[in-house]
Amino acid sequence: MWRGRQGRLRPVGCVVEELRCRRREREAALRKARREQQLVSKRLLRDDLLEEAEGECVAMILGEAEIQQFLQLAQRGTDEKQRERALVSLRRGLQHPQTQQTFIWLEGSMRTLVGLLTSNRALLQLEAARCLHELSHSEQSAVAEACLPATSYLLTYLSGHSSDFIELCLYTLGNLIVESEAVRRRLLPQGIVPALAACIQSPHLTVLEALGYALSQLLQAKEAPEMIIPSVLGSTLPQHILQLLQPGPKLNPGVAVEFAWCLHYIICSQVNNALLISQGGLSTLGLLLLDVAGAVQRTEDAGLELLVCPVLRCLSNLLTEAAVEVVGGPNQLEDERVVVALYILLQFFVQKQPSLLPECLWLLNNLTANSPSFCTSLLSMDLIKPLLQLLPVSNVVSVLVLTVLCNVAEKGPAYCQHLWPGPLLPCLMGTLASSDTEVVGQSLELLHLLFLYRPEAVEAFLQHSGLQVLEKHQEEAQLQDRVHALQKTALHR
Amino acid sequence: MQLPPALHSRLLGAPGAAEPLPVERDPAAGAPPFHFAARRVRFPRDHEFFEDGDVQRHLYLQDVLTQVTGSPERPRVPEFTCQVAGCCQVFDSLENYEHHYHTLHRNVCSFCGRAFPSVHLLDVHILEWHDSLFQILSERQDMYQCLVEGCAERFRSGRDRKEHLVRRHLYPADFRFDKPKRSRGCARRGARRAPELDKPCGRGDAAGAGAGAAAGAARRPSLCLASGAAADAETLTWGCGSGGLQPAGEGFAALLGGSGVSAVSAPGRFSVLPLQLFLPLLPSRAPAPALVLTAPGSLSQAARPPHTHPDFLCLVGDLTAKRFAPPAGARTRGMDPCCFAASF
Repeated sequence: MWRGRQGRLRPVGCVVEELRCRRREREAALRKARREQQLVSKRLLRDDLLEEAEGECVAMILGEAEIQQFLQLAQRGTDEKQRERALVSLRRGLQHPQTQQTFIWLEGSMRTLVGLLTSNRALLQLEAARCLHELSHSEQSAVAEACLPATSYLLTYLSGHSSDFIELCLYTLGNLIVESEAVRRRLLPQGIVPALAACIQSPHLTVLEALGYALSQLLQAKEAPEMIIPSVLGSTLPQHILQLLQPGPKLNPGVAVEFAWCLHYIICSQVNNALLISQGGLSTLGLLLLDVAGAVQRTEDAGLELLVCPVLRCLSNLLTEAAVEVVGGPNQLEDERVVVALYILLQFFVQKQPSLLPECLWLLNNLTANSPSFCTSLLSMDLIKPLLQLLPVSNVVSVLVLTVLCNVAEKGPAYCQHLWPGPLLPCLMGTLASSDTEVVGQSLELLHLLFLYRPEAVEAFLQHSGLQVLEKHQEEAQLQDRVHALQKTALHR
Repeated sequence: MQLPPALHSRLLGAPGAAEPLPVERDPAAGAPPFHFAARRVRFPRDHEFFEDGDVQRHLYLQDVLTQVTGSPERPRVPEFTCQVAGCCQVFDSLENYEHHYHTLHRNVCSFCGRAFPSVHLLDVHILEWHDSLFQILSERQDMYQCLVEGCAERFRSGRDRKEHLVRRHLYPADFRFDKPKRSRGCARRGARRAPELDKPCGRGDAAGAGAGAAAGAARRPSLCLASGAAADAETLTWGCGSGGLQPAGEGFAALLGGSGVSAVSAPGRFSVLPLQLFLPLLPSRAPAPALVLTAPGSLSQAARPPHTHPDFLCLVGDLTAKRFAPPAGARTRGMDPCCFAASF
């Protein structure tokens, strides 16, 4: 469970506007990072309750002498409590980047910390692990890489039993993993994949969420498709992940989010998706989608979009695999409730997260493209009209909606019979008037199919001043051939 | 976006697919200048299509977004002491106690008291430090297993194993859980005085078995296995119960060191005999066994030093060890029952 925390350095006297501003800045920074393929994010586990109990919780800057003193006290203090307190002070100091720098450059400091991490004194061990965790979270590569001597121990401790401690180790590992390829080139031979495969059998939800996080960081790595995903697929991890994503009362959203992202990174890397399909990936994810749509229907649970996004992506990408092509085979997704779920999610996203509409529509495209059954579902459940209501949202959404409509129309007269008469044609007049070439282009394709399979619609088109609308684009290079063809068709009816 | 009212109930209904309308395509549909073709689309990981969703994900990781689930209750409790005998650590939170217990009291070697972070490391430790059979076997084959989960390599010596850990797995050379065995300490419970072999072993027909063996009736050779040093031979007791202990397989009988409790072994059943009986049979530097196996009715064979017994050596070579758990109701006073059963 991700305990309530408010970011690295606790903002003092924070106002809502400040938070929003911070979020916008963060978002812009993340977009930039993604375009440069440098998208790296770390998680910080800091127990607010613990900090409250400790009182004053401002990160202090510690100097060399102080760090040394705390380390010595922790190592050789006479009193158990005194040793713990020294480490706690060190840990709080390490929340500050400057202390972190001083620490890693101090000779023997990491060695001492690792010694404390592996000692028999449980509480010292826990505190040492927390210190390490603060260091792992640093944005400075040097600081995170200074933690490498501890990794073999962190991995060893994953097969222990203390859930809090394991959780801490996992988040620390997750932060280190994402740091650099050099770190991963060390962790892989140290056996991180088998260690995670063993640890995923833990019954503790907090451990599972942490594990999902660490694994998602590993799978997100640039070199993952060649160096990491094959061994992950070769382990027992995929079947455990699918088990953890099975809907039902035992499904934990926090855990599910992490593992859904793990699956997404695996699937979109296209290493061996057939394996996931054979393990029932399509049906598990389909049922999960139904479950989430049901949750959305019942309450407006904040954060569900975090789970929906990777599930949509996984399903959409899996549907493109050859293994799914076998009609009527065991790996097909044929349940029309998936379409129902998708529409419920579309409605949800229109209000909550319009930026995710394209991903929903992408799945709708992949479901309807080669499936007469799903196209029929759209018609029989009266789902064309709601789709048309999405057209004004954005150009990207328009193109996708029109593509789905083309998927239905191209199946022939029996389908087009349900498309006209109806609200489609008037909407098409609107999209044809768009200034976006792609929107117009897709509209022309749809119009062509409509004219072909439902010739009666031509008359209605003409009555709607269709020709004038077409004229607007007859000079446009990418559109003119199609415009002329349609003009010819319309005039010769 | 308005959805048809019947849609919501459809979600809760039964799975099903619509009976598709007939498909009838005209070749003119895809003819130039038109080029639409219905097809499934896939996006690779770095595609810009994923930008928005990825940014949301990372905002969540960086904790700018709300969490998916609430935080659990963490009640503070009044101070309490660890209940394990001899430990007087005090705690005021359950989490700290949990970690303390798992670190210090969970995977503890019952022979030397060392604590280990996992069952796996404890098992390896017991095998390599406290099992004299391991020592014997390791002279003939690679017995030192790699410590890394998932690596099946085995080595002739601890040093070879360490080198493998450092070279192949990039472990630190001073990895704390791979310390070489110290020569003193474990082996000090070495050879003891010979017991009274001629005394009847106790109830039942142990005497009969002895007699039978003496008569040379037992064909199968005996086998001694040491599974670890008893802290104090006399205190190791197995509560056998009326049904006795059932072994995992046929063809052998187990003998457990204990004081005063014994029963005859019949094929497929355990015998419990005094440990002292077997101590002089072991190599002098080996720790005293907590468990000795022997075939039924072969006590006289057992009386000979096993390391000179040709059958023993040959059996050691063919040994396959199986573990079994002590039966419910077996009492072990503070001991970690670590038993090896052999079949042959």
